[in-house]
Amino acid sequence: MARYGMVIDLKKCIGCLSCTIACKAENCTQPGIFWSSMKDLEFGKYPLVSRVFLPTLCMHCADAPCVKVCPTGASYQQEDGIVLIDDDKCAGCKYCIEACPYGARYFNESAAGYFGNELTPNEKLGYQQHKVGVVGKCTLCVHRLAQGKQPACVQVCIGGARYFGDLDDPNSEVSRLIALKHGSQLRKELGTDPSVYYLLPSKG
Amino acid sequence: MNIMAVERQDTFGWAAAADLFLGGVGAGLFLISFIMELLDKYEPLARIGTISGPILVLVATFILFADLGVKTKFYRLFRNPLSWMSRGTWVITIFILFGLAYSLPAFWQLDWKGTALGNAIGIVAAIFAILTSLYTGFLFAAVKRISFWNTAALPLLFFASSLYGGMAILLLIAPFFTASPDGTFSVLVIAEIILILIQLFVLGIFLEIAKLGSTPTAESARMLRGPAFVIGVIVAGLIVPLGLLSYYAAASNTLALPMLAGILLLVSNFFLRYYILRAGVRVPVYP
Repeated sequence: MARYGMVIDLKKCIGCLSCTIACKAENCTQPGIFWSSMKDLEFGKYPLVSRVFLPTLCMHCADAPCVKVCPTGASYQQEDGIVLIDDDKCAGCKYCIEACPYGARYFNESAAGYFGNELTPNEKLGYQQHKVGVVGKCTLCVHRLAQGKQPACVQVCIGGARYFGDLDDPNSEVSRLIALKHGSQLRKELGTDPSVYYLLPSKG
Repeated sequence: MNIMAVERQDTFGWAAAADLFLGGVGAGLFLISFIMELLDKYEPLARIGTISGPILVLVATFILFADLGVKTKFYRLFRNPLSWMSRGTWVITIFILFGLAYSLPAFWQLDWKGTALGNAIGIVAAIFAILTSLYTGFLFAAVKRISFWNTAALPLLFFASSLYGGMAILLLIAPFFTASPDGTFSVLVIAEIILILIQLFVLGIFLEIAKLGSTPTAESARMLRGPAFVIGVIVAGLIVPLGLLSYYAAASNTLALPMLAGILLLVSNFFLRYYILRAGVRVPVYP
């Protein structure tokens, strides 16, 4: 069985936020909720300053703390490593939100849209998949994978910074990139074994 | 110097603190009252305590219930035995059921205190009262992302808080339910003095561990060094009541002193838990 994962080359990311917008368009999340987002980071001191755009999303950890702490069994992991939430089982206790080391989980507080309570036709359609009072997060576009497509954020990345594939296959592009360019996991010390790897600007 | 930025958790606020407070002091109240019943010297105060404890925990459960996003799915909270939230749901449910089963019949002339069955129910309820006061500590200690909470000292701190909080309620209500307050009172007052000293000791260890910990943990400890916690919770909420109770035990008969101490202790008990939740900070996500 495959273990799906992603590699993000930070040297190629230009911080255009197209991944964030593509995720919004694809998954139609409510205002204030970003399953895919971007951190704009600065390192060093003048004149030796560097700027890095760090795209973030659910890390789909192999040893996911959110799944362990979920009291309802709503958070679960598929055989392919994708961590999902069953809306019909979630009671909205929010425990998983703090358990996630990556801040990838959001509470669906209200069904209001970007223009108030009057929803646009797109929001009316898209919000059907997001129940109010439950927790939501990136699904790695599992519905697109089922159609043989890539996650929306990968497809739209104009810098070609995102790679998607099978981490268990040593010949896959993601596995080769991780091996050759020393892919790093965020907060590796927590031992959650994230499925999202970053190629740091200073390496490879 | 490399200063690490931290961000404050905003998931657990007033509702969680109220749940911790009522659940904790309710469990502590039952436990102490049950021991008093076993000693057979403190009726009807002990009986009031054994019934009030589970009721307070029941109120705490309603607060938890009200804070759920989907209330109709509350029954699913029992599903995952690996989750401290599920374990806690089981623990408080069993405590409430056994606590009420132990204390309620006494109000209908079915007093089974002293019988084998009554004692067995009481002992089960007392064990689950201990677990009720402990599990919230484990619940938050399991959140690895917040290193301030992620320590074995947190369940001990909450347990000690439950005991002094439960006894504080007894100090408050004792004058209304005890025929001769002085005799009972002096024992309760001395017990509370000991419980406050234990609480100060455990709190000191907890804060010292945090101070010596990683950067975010030390930042949490630094947040608690502000006047609200030091003056409000430690001085006004623990040390002043300690002085009032010590003075009462040594040289006074004024019942207002232990009652005032009881109020201060209960207020501090709530804010102790609230500020510990508020001081939960995490490292932002970046390499």
